[in-house]
Amino acid sequence: MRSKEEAFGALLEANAPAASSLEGMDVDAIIDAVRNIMQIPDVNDPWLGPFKSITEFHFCDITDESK
Amino acid sequence: MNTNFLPLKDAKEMLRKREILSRELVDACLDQIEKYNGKLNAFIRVYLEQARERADYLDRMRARNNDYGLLFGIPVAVKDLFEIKGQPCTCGDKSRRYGPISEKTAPAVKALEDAGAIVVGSTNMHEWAFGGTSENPYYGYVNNTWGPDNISGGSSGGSAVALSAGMCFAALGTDTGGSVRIPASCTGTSALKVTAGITDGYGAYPLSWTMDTVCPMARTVEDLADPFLAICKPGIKIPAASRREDSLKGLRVGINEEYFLNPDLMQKEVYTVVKKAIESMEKAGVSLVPVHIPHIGEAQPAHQAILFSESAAVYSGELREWRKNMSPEVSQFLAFGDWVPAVNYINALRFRNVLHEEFAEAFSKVDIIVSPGISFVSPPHGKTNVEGSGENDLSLILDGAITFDFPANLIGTPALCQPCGFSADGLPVGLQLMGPAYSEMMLLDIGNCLEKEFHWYRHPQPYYDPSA
Repeated sequence: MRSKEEAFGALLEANAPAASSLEGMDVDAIIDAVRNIMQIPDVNDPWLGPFKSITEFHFCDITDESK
Repeated sequence: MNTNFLPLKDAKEMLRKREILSRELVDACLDQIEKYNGKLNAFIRVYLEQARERADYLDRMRARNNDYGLLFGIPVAVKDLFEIKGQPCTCGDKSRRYGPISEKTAPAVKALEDAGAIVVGSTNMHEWAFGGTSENPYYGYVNNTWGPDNISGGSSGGSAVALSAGMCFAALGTDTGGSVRIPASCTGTSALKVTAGITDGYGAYPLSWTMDTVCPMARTVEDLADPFLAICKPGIKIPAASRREDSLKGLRVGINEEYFLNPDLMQKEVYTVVKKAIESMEKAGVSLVPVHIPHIGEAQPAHQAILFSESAAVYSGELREWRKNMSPEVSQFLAFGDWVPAVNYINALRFRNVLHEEFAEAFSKVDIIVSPGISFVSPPHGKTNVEGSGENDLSLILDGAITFDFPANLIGTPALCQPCGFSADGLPVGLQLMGPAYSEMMLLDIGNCLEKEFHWYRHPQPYYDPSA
């Protein structure tokens, strides 16, 4: 059984592009950003379904076939 | 006669009546750029010869009564994020100063040209559009016409300053979280963030495919209509304004004191000026209607999850190499995106559905929702935070600058930003009018009424005035 640290190290290695983006960066800032992003309100409801494309939100007929 | 600050409609009328040539308008803009660009850093490249040649060509066309298009013979500027055939497109990045050379012109720029516009140059910007100050370390800080030591806002800062300094009559910018509205607020100009999908973003370097919008900018709201209509995608039918054009009476203005008019989220001076503007609107006959948007105060993490993830995806794979040439600030933002869990990105997109429904409910009761354009007045260069009236400072890096702007990007609705007064130091304060999807003509109509009624717009007084 791997320790949590070993498991995370292996996962990091598997995700090489993301790992490379840590080089030379202010890792604390990345941690803060991720922590903030984790604060997305929990509106989860199985009936909410997947996301819509942004133009699907709007039901107005915007195509003018005459043009 | 000084033509640099003519209203667009007057310039068009003078051209139509043959009282002036396009060449004269272009020469006046180029002279202004020659005089002041060294101080303002509004332009990265200026197209002297091409602009003059095109103006002469259009003047010949007009002499043969072959004039057409909404912007026939009008000088415009475009953010250096748009590809123009035969030119580099720097995106504000030092390594792209001389190339690669674009093989095509972006459709939005082509649309302006098809409407008869003359592109005089490509404007300076926040590096890769990833920020709201336009303090570009490579092409110079874009300085504000209202105070040369102050920021212009960004990321489309060069376009706003070019307008404010009389270097063009209309401009193109892009907006993913406020990038035309922040500089409009800082420079006392006007900008229209459009409904998602109605303008063509191809050939403009992306930050976020689902939130980027190509937007018109102009000195006044009245001047915005022509460039807006010119860049709408072919086949798009924009609903006409559904209200009377000459009056504010009966307009239902949404007031959201929990967020969009929460004094703790902005500088006191901004709150005072915007509040006064709203009181003036009430005296002119609008109805103020409280609106509640339950999740608005928690929405910014969703915007950031989408922005960071999508921008990291843009600059991944082979394009990951480009990150090596970017400043540490921009690379860091992209690194954020590498670490957003996919689950959060998807839930951010799902949250967008919820927020959209909440706004739709609000817009069933009101015509528009008002807020400041940004939470602060243009600060001096070099700051990362400014003092707010709440407990915390307002960050200029992301959250503080885009507090009132990002919701329109998150849900894809339009928002107009126009000046509504000045701070005690004489710096402009912007007002944002948000409307439901495809309400651009209504927003322009309302903004135009406000402009005529209250005369909030004025030219910058500082030494950039050529008559000074």
